Amino acid sequence: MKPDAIAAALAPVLADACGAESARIDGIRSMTGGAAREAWRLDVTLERPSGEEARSFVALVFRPAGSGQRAFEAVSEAELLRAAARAGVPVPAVICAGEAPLGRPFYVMDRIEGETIGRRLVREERFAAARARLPRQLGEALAAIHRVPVHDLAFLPRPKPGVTVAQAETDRLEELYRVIAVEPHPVFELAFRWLRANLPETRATTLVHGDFRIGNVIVDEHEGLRAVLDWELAHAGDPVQDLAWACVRSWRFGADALTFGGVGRREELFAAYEEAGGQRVDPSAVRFWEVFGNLNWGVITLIQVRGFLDGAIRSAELAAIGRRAAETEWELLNLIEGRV
Amino acid sequence: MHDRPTLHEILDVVQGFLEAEVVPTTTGRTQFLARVAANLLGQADREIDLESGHFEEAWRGLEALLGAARAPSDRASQREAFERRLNLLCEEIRSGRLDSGSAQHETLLRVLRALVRAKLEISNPALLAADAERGIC
Repeated sequence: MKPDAIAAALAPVLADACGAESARIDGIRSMTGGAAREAWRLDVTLERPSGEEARSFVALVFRPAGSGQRAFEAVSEAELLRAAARAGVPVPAVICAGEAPLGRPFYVMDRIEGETIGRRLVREERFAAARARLPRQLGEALAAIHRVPVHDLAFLPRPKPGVTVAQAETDRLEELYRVIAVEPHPVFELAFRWLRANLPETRATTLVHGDFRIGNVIVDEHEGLRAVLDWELAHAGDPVQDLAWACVRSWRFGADALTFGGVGRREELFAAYEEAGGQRVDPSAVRFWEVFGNLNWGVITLIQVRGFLDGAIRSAELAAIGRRAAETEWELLNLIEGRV
Repeated sequence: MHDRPTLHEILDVVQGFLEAEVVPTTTGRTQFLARVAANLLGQADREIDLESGHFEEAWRGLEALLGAARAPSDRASQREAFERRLNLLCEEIRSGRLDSGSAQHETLLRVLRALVRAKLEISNPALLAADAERGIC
């Protein structure tokens, strides 16, 4: 959508949601969004009889409903963020959500200052103090996420009755792999065999964020964690999946020895999670979901490079991703052989 | 048959141009893509040197699991033949015949590790070096 059209359509909605007479859009610019939606930064002056207030928001504008790219709609994601906030998860406050004014599903939230880029968070000296705080803060945030009642959130995808979460997720990933893979990847085949021989029996389900990791959180260099973002893969499932995904090697951004996101050790995250009320972390379940997570990322690299291989997108970035599958194969062998 | 610069020299000079002149003078997305492009040229450069050795090693590794087979001598047929053999190995793994506990499982792990190590020698030698320091090779 055109920025001017978005600004004009959202101004009255924002004024109304914030209890102001009117809202003046001082600036709107595009942020990195993702394939399924656009993200816009909105700088706004709220006008009230008592005076003016400058605010900064982020509007997420989704592709038209029914385009088949997402599990649930923008209003549902907004509802999920509100539920997470009530459970004590640091998330941006949702201002409003809907579809009519834009003709596209959207929601608007407070813009929170801070860094999200994983490579910077892991490497730069100015984040050293934040890094020291992150294992504890993220362990606490994850324990809070897993306390959000899933019963009220009927839109969340959840495993079919009678199938364990691990079984359902492994089936889903293998189906995807069979459809997408152009070239043979024997390590991925081995990893599927290994997963099926090591399925955890978990049946009880909690909210699973689905993409909880460094890179999807906002970090302040003094305070550390400010907010957990990127909720579009949320589902009901095995909470250990989130703990293990946060430890997948690609999300260490090169700081490989720091097994939790390049900022700490796995054990620090798990201890903080348990202390904050999360259930006891079973090492064999973590191993299963870490193998699953690395394989999942490996399959995603195959999906991304398909755009290039099929000739649809001429992009050096996509081409390069094709050769990142080997990194996940290497880590899968290390995990399966118990070397890491 | 062709005048110099050699293929190596061409890749090297373009990679150097991207790293020394494009990356420092651009920002954001363009800078990121210039880094990616330089990295891809580095991969191509390494692949020219290592490809034939990698093929021979990988072919022998697959023979240890699938039995002896004649390797084609020209590059294009090598790629095709290798993919066929690799597909055969995938079928063997899927069948369970190479599962943990089977006679060939240790050989499978050794061969797969060598196959992936060869790929990383091209695509990410820094990762291999970092792991070697941790005793993983």
